[in-house]
Amino acid sequence: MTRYLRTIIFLLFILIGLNAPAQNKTETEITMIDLYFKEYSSQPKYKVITMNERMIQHSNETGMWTHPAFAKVMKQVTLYRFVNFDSSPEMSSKIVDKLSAAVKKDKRYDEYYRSSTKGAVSTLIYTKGKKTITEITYITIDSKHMHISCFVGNSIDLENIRTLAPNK
Amino acid sequence: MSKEKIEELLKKYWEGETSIEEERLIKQHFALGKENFGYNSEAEYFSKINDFREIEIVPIVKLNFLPPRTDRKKEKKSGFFKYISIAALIAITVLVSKFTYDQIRFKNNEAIEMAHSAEKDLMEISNSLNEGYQDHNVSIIENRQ
Repeated sequence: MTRYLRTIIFLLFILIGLNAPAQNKTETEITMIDLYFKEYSSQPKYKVITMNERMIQHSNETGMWTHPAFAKVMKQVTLYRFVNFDSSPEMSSKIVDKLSAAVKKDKRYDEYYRSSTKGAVSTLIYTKGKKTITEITYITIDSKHMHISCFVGNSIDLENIRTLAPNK
Repeated sequence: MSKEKIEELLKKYWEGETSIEEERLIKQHFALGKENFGYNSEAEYFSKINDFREIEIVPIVKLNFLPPRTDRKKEKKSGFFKYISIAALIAITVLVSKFTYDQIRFKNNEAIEMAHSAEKDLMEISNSLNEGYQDHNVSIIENRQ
């Protein structure tokens, strides 16, 4: 009996072992979402989605992008993570204020772009890195939701991203 | 038995002419450890034969090939676990295959969705950057004027 049990346990360990590497999280995967938005995980419809390096590579190799200009940008990206959650305008305003204060204090990110609609912040772009940009965070706010997306890479060319709209 | 008698019987024995009764006499003589009259090797030989006789010959019919009743129960039990293990192994294989298939399918769908989401975000970032540069340029021109 123990012999068969041992076999089953051995197989289970192999299965667990096969799944384990996918759950590893390295230091390089820390994004603005991980730093400043985890505390809002109790917000309704809070959902984080991650596209890791392997998936991006797979997308690049299989030609999943609808335009070569996207492939060009995504070649510089090693991690794409975004989060969505429901947020009232008051809540969003508080989150933006808190985030701006935290960013100023931490000095890990620089605010690159901010636009407002009817007096409320609607879009924010943050960058990380001085000489080379290693992360771009894009925040959009509407009356009901917040969307934050992070693009992480070793050296992301902003000009490549800026020319996407005119080129496409 | 006298020395002469032993000599005679041994001679007959090695020539293969002894009767069963004579052989029994020789074996009995040496087995009892009586005077061997210098026939040490013969004495050793016959004592060995005697030793062999002491080995119990178990008739084949008496051999118990079947394990005792308690062992048979154990055997039945281990047989049951054997079937359980095979069933578990099949179940695990099916589940793993299904899980792997679902995961691949899910990953493919997920990858497509994420790719679309990434493109949408990149386009929005691009638009924002362009708007930003345009506003920046307009403000520079306005300041110059």
